[in-house]
Amino acid sequence: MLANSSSRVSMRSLKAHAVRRSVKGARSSPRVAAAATTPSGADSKTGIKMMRKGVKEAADENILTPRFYTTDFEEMEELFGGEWNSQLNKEEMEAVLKEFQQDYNQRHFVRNDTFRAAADKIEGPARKIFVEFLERSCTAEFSGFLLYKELGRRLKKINPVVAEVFTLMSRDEARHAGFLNKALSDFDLALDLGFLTKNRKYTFFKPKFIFYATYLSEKIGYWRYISIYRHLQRNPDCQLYPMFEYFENWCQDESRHGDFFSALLKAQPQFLNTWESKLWCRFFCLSVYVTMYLNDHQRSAFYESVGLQTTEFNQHVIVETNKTTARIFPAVLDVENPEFFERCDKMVELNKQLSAIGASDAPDFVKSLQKLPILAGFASHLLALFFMAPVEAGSLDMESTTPAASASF
Amino acid sequence: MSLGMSSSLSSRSSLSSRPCIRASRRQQIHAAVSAQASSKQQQGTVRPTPPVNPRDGSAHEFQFLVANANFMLNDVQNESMAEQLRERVRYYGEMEYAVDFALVCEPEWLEKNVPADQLAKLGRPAVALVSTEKDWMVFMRLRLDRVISGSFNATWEEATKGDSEKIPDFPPQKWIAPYSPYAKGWWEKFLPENVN
Repeated sequence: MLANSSSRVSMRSLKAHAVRRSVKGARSSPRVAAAATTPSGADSKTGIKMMRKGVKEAADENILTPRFYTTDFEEMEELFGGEWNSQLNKEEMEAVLKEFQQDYNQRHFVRNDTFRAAADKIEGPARKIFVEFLERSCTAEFSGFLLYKELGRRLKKINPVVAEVFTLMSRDEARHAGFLNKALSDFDLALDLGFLTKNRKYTFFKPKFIFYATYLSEKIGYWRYISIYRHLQRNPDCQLYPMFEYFENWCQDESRHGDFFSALLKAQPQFLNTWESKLWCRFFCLSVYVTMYLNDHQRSAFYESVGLQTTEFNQHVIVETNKTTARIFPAVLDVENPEFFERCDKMVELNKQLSAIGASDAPDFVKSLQKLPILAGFASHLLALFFMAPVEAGSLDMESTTPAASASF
Repeated sequence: MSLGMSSSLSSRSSLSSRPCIRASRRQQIHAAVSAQASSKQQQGTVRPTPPVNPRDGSAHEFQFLVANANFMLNDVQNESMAEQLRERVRYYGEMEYAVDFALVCEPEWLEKNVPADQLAKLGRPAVALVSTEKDWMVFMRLRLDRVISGSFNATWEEATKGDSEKIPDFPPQKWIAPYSPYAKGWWEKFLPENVN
């Protein structure tokens, strides 16, 4: 939804410098007995396309695939070197840094022998959707790693405290991505993260916007992981694969990352107390929630395979993410108004129609024509949701926001 | 499905400074991710200095965060606090630190340490998180946001004096999550009488 043409420019320059590297895990994982591939390069068990032996071809991208965020690093350097630096709440920033330095999960991401056996038992269509889930999650974590690592590097001299937090967050994301890629190896696959780095489209956000997007990604990530974890904890029969047992500690990292972005946003009151900022907050909430809703409904089979109902799961995640977000964003969406999910459900239907047209044999120009009314439908739902009366929100530290004025504890 | 807003997110003028990760840089990135992906423990990480054990009978500076019991113990949003406290107890165990925080219901020091105007807005019974670890409490305040915060000097015994009996029997709440809520009493192991 947020892809834009300019992101291609950065990809071109990335490609120009491209050096082909493959991921260590893909080549030297002791376990990989690479699956037999068919002459067409597809895995014989799942039909998954292979880039080369044991290395999965990255999934096709569309507006709903996990995004690689990038930003204007030079402007970021200026921001953190200048006004931002002086406005940061030093006490809060150092507290965040210390929290990351504790490294609660240093010893957490250690695999055991049950992974492989569990993966072997996942067969048929479930195997394919599991792989897809792992791939999407790995891609999302890895994109965080790339962005935070680069920010940590670029800001090192300018703002050492903020830079170190970014570096420690990239540590977490690398662990998560690595753990997920190891999980893929249980399915005789791996993602070539080097290839992905070079060939993925990057979604570009100006520095002032990227923190809304990353805040929401981290907090919604927390609510997704913890909801799956709690559900499986109470329904151990659905625990098909031991990775989910790691989610409780794992997602604390995501939540902490989100808190860091709260602290950054608070240092720039104009991101939180102007009427434009309220519109942007609503825009980012809407795009993140709707993207997840449509994505997950396209993959209901995955959530059903672990005993979750996709709609119930999604609505819960959105409602809670929205409440969390209300502790910092000056306005959030009224997701508890029935109209919100009614329109989301209508978009799920439209999305199905869109997929059906895409899969049909009609000539391209016919497909385009058929898609027009559906796209218009999307647009009208999105606009209606965007202009629904918002919920006034915000941190109590921002004295200008409504909650601060009427606070009770 | 673009709202036509996406193009306004990126400014044309910044195209010249378009970020580009150099090839050499990418190699470093891959070295880093491979190293971490192989789940080797990073033993060289800088760790903060160990906390002071406040339970030595003498006075220490305590930080507190306080709000009504329902918010602190029964709000779906703050189930994450249960996770954080468990995580911290686990971490303290791994590091062999003495636990220096507790949940205190209706603390005795409340009236003395919370300004009257704020006290008037505080729902009762109130539950406080107290700790001598200032940085962690600043972080917890950032997370919880809707709490009253402050500090005072006291011994561990004084700081944790309250009445756990006053924690209410929360009525069932409207519950839409695909799983059941944390069982009542998750907080018990963090009450002063149970923190070891």
